Amino acid sequence: MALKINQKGFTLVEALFSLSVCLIVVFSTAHILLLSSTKDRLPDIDASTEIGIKSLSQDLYTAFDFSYGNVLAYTDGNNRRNTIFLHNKRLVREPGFIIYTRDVEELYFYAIDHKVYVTMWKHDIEKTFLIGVDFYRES
Amino acid sequence: MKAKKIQKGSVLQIVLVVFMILHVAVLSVAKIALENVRAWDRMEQLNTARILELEFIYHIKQMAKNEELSNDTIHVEGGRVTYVIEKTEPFYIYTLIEVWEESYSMSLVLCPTTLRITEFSY
Repeated sequence: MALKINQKGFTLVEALFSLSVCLIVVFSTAHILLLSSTKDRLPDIDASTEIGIKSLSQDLYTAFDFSYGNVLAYTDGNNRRNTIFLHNKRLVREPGFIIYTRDVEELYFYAIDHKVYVTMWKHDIEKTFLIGVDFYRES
Repeated sequence: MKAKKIQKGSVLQIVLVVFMILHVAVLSVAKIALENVRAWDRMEQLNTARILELEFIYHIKQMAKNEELSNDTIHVEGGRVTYVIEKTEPFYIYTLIEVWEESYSMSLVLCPTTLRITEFSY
């Protein structure tokens, strides 16, 4: 039985081309690993919560006469009483039924040294946000 | 039985195709990772801006309460607020907020007697 196989191997150009493709793949992988390690150092950020909290804190810029607990009550710039509370896992403001964020399991509003905070549990992760300033003097 | 087999680069072609597929896959993942990191950065910036604005409001209210409010710059981690006050009744406060490498302006109207912000705009 005779077996004739014509094997000439790779030329120098082919070998160099393959090597360059290998290098590109290796450097891309290194880049991904670098990005992944950077990501791990960043705090866990939930975009929808951050945007909701930003919107909520802006609503509280003109607010005064706060009361705290599971429901945050305050008077706004138009002297209208507002409440922010949890409704079917949604952080909601009444009147208007404005939804700030979703998937909130539990929350609590409180103030320390005139600064208003909310602590919320979302996907079993506890997070605390500074949302307002409670500085008010009766005229 | 005679077998005559001539290979003129078919192995190289397969290897190159596999490399190309791998390369496209790796680049796609890298692009997604890069976009995610940019999104996280943007969220961090938004978070820093919120804290900076609230710390600034706390600062001006406290200074107004002590009747010590004057033009100044306050520094908070990640940014600073430079503000100018027009001491009429109420106070008109014009600010330049610098967060990371971006800046924007905000103006506020503060009632010095009640310490209430009655208006604000960007």
